[in-house]
Amino acid sequence: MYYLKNKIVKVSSLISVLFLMSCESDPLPVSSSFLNDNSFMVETFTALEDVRVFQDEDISIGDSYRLYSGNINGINSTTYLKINTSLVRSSKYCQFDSNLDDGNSILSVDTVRLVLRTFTELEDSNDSLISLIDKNNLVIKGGFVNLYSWDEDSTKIFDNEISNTLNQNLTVINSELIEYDNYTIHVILPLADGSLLTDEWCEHDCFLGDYYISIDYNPIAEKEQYIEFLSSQNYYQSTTVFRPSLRFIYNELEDSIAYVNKWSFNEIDGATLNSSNMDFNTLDVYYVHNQSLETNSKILFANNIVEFDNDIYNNSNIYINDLNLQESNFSEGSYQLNLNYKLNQDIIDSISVIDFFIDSIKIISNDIDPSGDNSLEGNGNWDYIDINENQEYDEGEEHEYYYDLGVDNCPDNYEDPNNANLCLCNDYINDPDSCLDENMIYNPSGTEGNGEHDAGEVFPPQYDCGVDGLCDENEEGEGEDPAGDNYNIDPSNDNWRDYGSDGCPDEYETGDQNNPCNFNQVNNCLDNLYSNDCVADPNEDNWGYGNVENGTEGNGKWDIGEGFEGNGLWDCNDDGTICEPFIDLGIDGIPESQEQNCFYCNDDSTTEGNGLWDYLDQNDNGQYDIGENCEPFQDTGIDQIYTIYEEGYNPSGTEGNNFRDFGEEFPAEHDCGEDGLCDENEEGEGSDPAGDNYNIDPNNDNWSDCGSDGDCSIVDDNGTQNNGLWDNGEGVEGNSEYDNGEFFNDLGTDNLSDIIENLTSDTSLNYYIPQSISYDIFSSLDLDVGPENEVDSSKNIIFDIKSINYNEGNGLITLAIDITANTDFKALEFRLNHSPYLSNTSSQIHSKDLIHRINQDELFEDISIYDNSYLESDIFSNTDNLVLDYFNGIKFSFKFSELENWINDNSNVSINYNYTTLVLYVNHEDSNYNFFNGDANLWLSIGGNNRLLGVADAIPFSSLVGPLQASGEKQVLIPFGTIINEILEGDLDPNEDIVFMLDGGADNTSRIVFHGYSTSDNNESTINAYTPKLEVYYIE
Amino acid sequence: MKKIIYIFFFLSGLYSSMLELHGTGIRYNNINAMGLGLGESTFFSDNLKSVSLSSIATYWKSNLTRISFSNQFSHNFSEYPDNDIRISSFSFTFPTSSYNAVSFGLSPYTRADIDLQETDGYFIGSGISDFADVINLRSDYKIRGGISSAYFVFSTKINNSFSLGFKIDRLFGNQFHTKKTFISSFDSFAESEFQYSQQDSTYKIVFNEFSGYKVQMDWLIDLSKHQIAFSAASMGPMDVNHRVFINEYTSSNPYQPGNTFLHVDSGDDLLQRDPDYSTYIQDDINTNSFLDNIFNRLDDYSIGYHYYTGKFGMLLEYKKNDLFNNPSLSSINLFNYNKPSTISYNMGLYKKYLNKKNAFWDVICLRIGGYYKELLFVNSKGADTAITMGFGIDKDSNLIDFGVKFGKLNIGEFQDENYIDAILSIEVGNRWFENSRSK
Repeated sequence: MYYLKNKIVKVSSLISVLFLMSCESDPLPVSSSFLNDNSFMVETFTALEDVRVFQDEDISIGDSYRLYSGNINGINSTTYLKINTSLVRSSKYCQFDSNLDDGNSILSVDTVRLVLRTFTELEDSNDSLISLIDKNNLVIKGGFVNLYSWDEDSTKIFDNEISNTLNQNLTVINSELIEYDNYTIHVILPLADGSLLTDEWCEHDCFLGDYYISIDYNPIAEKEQYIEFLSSQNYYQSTTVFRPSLRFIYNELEDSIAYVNKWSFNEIDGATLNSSNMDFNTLDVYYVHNQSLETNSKILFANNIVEFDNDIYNNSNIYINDLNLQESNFSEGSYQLNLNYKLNQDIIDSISVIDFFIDSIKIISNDIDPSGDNSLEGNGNWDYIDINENQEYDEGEEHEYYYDLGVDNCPDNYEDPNNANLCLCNDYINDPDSCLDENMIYNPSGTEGNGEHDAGEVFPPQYDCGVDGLCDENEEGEGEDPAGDNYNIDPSNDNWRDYGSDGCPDEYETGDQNNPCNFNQVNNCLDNLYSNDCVADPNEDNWGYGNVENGTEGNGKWDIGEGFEGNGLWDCNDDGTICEPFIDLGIDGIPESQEQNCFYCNDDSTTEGNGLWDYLDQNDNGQYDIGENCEPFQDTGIDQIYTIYEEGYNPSGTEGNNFRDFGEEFPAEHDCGEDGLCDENEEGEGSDPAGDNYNIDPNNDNWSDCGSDGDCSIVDDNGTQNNGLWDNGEGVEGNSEYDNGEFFNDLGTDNLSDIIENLTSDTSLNYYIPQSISYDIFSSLDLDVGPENEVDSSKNIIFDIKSINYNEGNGLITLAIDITANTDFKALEFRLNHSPYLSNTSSQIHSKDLIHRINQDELFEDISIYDNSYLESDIFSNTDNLVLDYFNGIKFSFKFSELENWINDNSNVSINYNYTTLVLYVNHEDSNYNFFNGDANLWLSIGGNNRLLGVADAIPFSSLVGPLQASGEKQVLIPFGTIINEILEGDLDPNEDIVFMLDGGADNTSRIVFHGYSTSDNNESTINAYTPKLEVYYIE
Repeated sequence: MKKIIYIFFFLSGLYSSMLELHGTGIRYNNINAMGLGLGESTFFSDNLKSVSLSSIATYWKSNLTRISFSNQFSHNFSEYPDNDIRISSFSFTFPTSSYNAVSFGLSPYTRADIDLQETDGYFIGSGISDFADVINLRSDYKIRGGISSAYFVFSTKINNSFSLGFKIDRLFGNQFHTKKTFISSFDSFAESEFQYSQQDSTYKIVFNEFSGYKVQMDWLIDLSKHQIAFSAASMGPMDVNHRVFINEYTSSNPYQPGNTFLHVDSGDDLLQRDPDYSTYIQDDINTNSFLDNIFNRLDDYSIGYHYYTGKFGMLLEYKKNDLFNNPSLSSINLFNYNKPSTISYNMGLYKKYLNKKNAFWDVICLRIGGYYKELLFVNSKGADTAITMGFGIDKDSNLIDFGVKFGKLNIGEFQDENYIDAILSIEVGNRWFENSRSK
């Protein structure tokens, strides 16, 4: 009892404890105002000091990834290249010796070509005869010069000393030695004696200097104004192979190992036959002495072969199964074969032992039909084993092989209905080499008539009816688009597209100010700017070089005439009665109830809840500019509806999407191929002058299950169309059935000839051969002694080497081989093989090398030299604009006034890399701006420490941080967290100026202009909305 | 029973109260079950020897070696209820002579064990940035640990009326709090309330390592049926090794796919990591200057009166408690709030039932009490009011006491908390050292 009570107490206690232990861990909600523990902070820096735009004349001009020749916006540039000739002199190209024959030596150098790649397109990609550059005014000079002042790494920009020296000492290279590709210039460098690199190239004489090249280009106005080359620093497409290079074309000796026969059949009486059987004939043995044949050293026993002799046997590779051996016959008995070999006199001194053996044995028995199928073989009929005895062939039944090519016995690719035998081959089956690969009609990649809408083909809008194949007027239902399949990505047509104030892109511009847009016109000029008939920008409204102030198309900002939705601005209609929706939260964008927890909120007491859309006019220009603080609004356009909610929005619609979708008809008259021209309009002769007609069955004999009428376009009532079975009347090629007229092999259902049947393991005769024999030519061997007991006499055919002797007098080695046949046979073939002699040889080969470095040392150094056109420029005299220009060495620098103090006061903070950003604003309207294509690498330098800056497309950084892209975007967001962190950690000095610059990796001619630090008339600095701004986000 | 005791001893959990967010966590006063039943009395006892674990001047009165521990059960009735069980004290006491005793013990001094979620967060207005719209920042917190006390007590009888107790607390322990801040964009056009879209998050771990001590002196005056007690405690120097870790990831490579912020369960998880920032915060005073400042550093003092007869007793107490008020230590507060100083008025009654038979119990004591505690924050006040009750069983100087209180906590801006606390204390007496005393 006590025990029970004690137990009850314990259990009860445990249950109580477990109940009380039921801890809950849901987080406790707490007001932020109570915790008052925000540790994520922002500090912004806008005040600049020591702002400076300057030209750094000390920068090296050798760092550029690009070289320039020609007229670059009024600046004439010349490219100079130096070939580090000392590298050539110590290279294999100068180790030539025509007398050497020990291999791997250069015998002579035929040509040395300079290969220069360009970013500039030199020839029209469609017509290489049209040159885009002015070749007549491209002058390339070369010569050896001792120029001590040249140093690619330290030569300063605008250094004219080099050009002066080189211009006096280089000679013009004949234009005939210059060749052009689309993006490559080849220059054949003159060699003094025409065939060898001269002493200048290879002599180690320090007075000779290096080989220099200059490239001058003074084009006429109609041609490309300058040529942009890849330099010896370039990493185009992440590889160095496109750098300036030399192509050496030369002859050299190359070592190789050759297999040389130690002996070969003596051409006369190489093999002779004796026999104990009286029926033999010495002509019944044939041997191959032609060492160029694969059948070399083969010996054939055969007789009664029509029109066959030993010369024929030596003309080509003939094997035993290639011969008609019907009448050949050897009776059982012993045959003595004498073989005469001549030693290879070229290596006679190296031969002492010959290891030989018998291999490649094929024996044809006397059985004329080993498989017993001669009732089918050669009967002239296509045969099969009718297993189910239904008197017709069924799939799976054994049959004689046939070529399922149709009765033309010609595969599609050689079919030609215009040819007499409907084929481009005389006999495709037996003589495939007779087939011609020219003038093929077969063209599976042809685009004309392929039923597909290909690029270049016109797809008429009236056929763009959607996957239902019905255009609106034919669709059942009501409304403009009864089926709801109309493609529409902007039903209200109010989306902002940067088409300029004319409201249309270039292809619809007319050039007529009164009627600037015609959306029905077809403009094919966009890809063919050099055509005389084309105008790339008819309304001349494209923003770009020479039109930065007035260009409205592609300028990256909204202009009057462009759509409202998505333009970044708060818009109203003309009378201001309908505007885009906004929330009247004040310019801080935060509701009043939340402002108690708001950091850095503007005082919005006058703007929140006032019923008006407000913004902070930071640059006091009287209008809202993108980036200025404002109340949140929905950039919907005047319709107050985002595009995706606009009625009719249907990005996946197939009607009117200007794309041929499945189900849409594509009329044959428009299926003219990628050239856009149907046969009748193509230039040239024949039915398909452009050769672009789609054709996969020229003889129209392919089985395509079209029914017994053979016409797929007409449905057969008898159910034969698309029934998956071949029916009479359908094409016969590829129908998987034998059709009368198709070639078949008539070898019986085993598909083997009698000869081959004889060679199969089940029916062939067995044999004995001796093992490999090692023969010392200076001693005779009589093998009758000893090895005879080892012969396996139970075999059908026994090969036994009886003797071998070397006759020094005539240089012949004679082998006596006994062949004992224990049964009759038709023929046999074997080879007396031997281990060859390995010979080291040298042979002359013609080689080409394209190199830009030798032993990891760059072969080229290269620079561009031009005049300094910014000596007196006013861009250095004010700080309104901050200019970067690699080509002209223009940089800018400044310091954020309070940054150093802030760093000192906040040494313990942790920087948030995802938000900390330096914001620069591009001044597209400045006349110095010249950055319209490609990209540029921004760098900064603090105290001589250079850092590559990436540019983000969004904050927090999504994934794309890369170089600065040329675009109309004004705001440039530079992730700056790592820089600030380096300053915090003491790796960079905040007291130093921050110098910004570009590198020479991209287009060197780009000139980027950022808004700077305005100065008023009384020289007071002012901060405007576009002053560079540093925002530092950090955790305390 | 032994198994139950082991379970009590090893298990502890969460008890969320807003008081835990102040200072370095909620303050513990080494109350045992008997004291809890008597309105959180710390001075007086109703057992046969008049020994109370929370009254160090009474330790000498028992001639037994005593091992005691208390387990505390808590239940919060607020909107976010939670339950908890934890060890609230453990001590080992033995006599050194007829009138002297010493004791060693271990108890929590402050504790925070709570997960928090900011309800509204902070905003960074769009005006500050040229590229970012309104940013919302909301944080989740996890706070664990606090200061523990390992103490030594010397208790002695001065004469028949006066007793004295002296206690040195070695204060030590670790506390870490993690803070994960979600940075979100803010869609003011959302149809229902405001909509946030998380774009980034940051992680911050603060790890504090405490080291200090405290001294306490108790006086007890016995006057026939009356007892009067005084207590004062002064906080010695408290140094803190303060370390901050930012954005610690489970792997050294934060860009590794699937990598997440470091999950911290204890300070051991941070041993292999270098802090982004660390400082050793030294107290304004050191050991040498403590004596000169002992009265300036007086943060706990109390007075109590006890009237008793053989079977009945009544007590009244007044207490003033504080944590360290040293400004140099304010940075180690969990949030920007100091621990509130408290003034409490306690009252208790008890009735004893003696059993002269040799039975399961010698004495059973029933207790009832209550207190009113004023919480004095820097800019506000709060109140903690509770009624208490309990009972105790005494058998051969082995005590089992159970006390429970039903309280209501009111802190200005927070929702009122209704709670139950219960303490089970077990005290085992043995005569291990009685021989030495008899000599």
